[in-house]
Amino acid sequence: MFAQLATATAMGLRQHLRNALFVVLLVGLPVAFITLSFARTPDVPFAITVHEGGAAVSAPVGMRDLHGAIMVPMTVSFLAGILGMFVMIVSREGDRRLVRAGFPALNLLLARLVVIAGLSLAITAVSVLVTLVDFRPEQLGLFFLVNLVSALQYAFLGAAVGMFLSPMSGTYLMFFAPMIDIGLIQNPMFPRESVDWWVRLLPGYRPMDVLLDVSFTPSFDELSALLVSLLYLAALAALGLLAFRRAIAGPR
Amino acid sequence: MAGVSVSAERAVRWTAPLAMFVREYYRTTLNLVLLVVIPALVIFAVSDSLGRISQVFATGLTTDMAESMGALWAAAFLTGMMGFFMITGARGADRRLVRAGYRPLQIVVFRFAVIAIFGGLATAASYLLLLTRLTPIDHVQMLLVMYLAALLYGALGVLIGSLVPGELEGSFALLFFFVMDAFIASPLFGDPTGVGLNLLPTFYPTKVLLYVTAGQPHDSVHWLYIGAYAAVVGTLAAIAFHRAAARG
Repeated sequence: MFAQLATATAMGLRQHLRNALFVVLLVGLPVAFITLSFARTPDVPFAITVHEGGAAVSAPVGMRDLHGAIMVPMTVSFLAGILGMFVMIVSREGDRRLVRAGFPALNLLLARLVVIAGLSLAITAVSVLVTLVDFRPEQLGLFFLVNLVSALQYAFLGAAVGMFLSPMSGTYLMFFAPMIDIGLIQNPMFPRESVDWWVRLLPGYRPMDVLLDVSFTPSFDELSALLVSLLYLAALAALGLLAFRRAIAGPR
Repeated sequence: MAGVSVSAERAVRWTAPLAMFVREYYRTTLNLVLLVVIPALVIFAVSDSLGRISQVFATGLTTDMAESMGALWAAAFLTGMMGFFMITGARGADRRLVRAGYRPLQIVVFRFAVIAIFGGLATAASYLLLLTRLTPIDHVQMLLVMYLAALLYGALGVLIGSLVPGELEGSFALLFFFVMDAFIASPLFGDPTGVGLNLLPTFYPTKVLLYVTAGQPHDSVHWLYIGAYAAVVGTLAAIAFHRAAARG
């Protein structure tokens, strides 16, 4: 089982990484987006509400740092979401044939998810590294983790979308969903204490709480938000699994 | 009688591929649904946020301006993606048309005609939704600048689709322009004066749109820039697509 999984994963990774243009874009886009967003944002003083020692406090942050910090989950969600969708779209016909030929569906799905997770990890690493040029988050390890969670959430969402939708419909969704969720609705420039219920249901809500805490405070106070984010991530992975079962391994 | 038959045959040769290209798009019902849903989401859910961001940055943008920008972005980005996927998804069909005797130039004309039609639909959907939020002072100019932005992105989508072989890489390339236009060069973060930002596709359309929304006079040379930009991108896209179609 492990040998099959390793082979399918290696082939999936090789399929993408041998494409030089893909690699250039995977590295170049986070560099461009994040660097330029720091360069373009006026350094206006701004205060956000964060939790420190269990109490809500107002923390003064520069607008440039705030926008730069938000640009990281936005960038990784855009890229990982589109990537997750196309990994599934590109491989779904071949996967159907492989399953018919007797390849275990679970191994195949795990291989696809590992490919998506591996590339999401790479996108997150590049994005966080380039952020460090302009901004040093207070809790770097957790900053990386929460951005990886954002990337994986949208990557698995993209994977589920990629099982059923056409490339155009799927891309419509995966372009606009992170833009609306992370870029605008969860934007910490607006009060986040009394948001509508549906805003709390979006993938970006809890990770944004964690992101603000780990970016601008020295101690970690958003454990429950991080756990909810991880649960949300697990639910999206399960959604990807169900979509895969239905589209690839289901009754024919 | 024979003359009528020949002209009917000629008409069919023009209308059949056009109808086929239009059908490629609307046979996926979700494409049409999203053509309305996405502008609605961008305009309704986002415009308040945009308006508040602009207050933070004190750029003088009003909520009306933010809503207009949301409508323009929705129309432009939807048309851009449509142009891109039309090209990447249609290589087989185009090859068959060339084999059936159509000249590559005809196929280029058909494809651009379809983009003009669906760009018009995306613009109309965005504009009608925008009308529920504000009453434009100058309908003609506002509609025109939104349509030109949509066509510009449509041509950009064709250009990327003709040059970049894979859908994933092409989507990433399109995403570059999308994020640059909406988040990096956005007037929300002050007047975009950085080097090269005025080369972004919706830089001048956005400028004109904001003036038109505010009912302020604007420099008419911006229309010239938009026209020139559209002509250059459209020509490059037509050349790239023609070469791709001719290669088969």
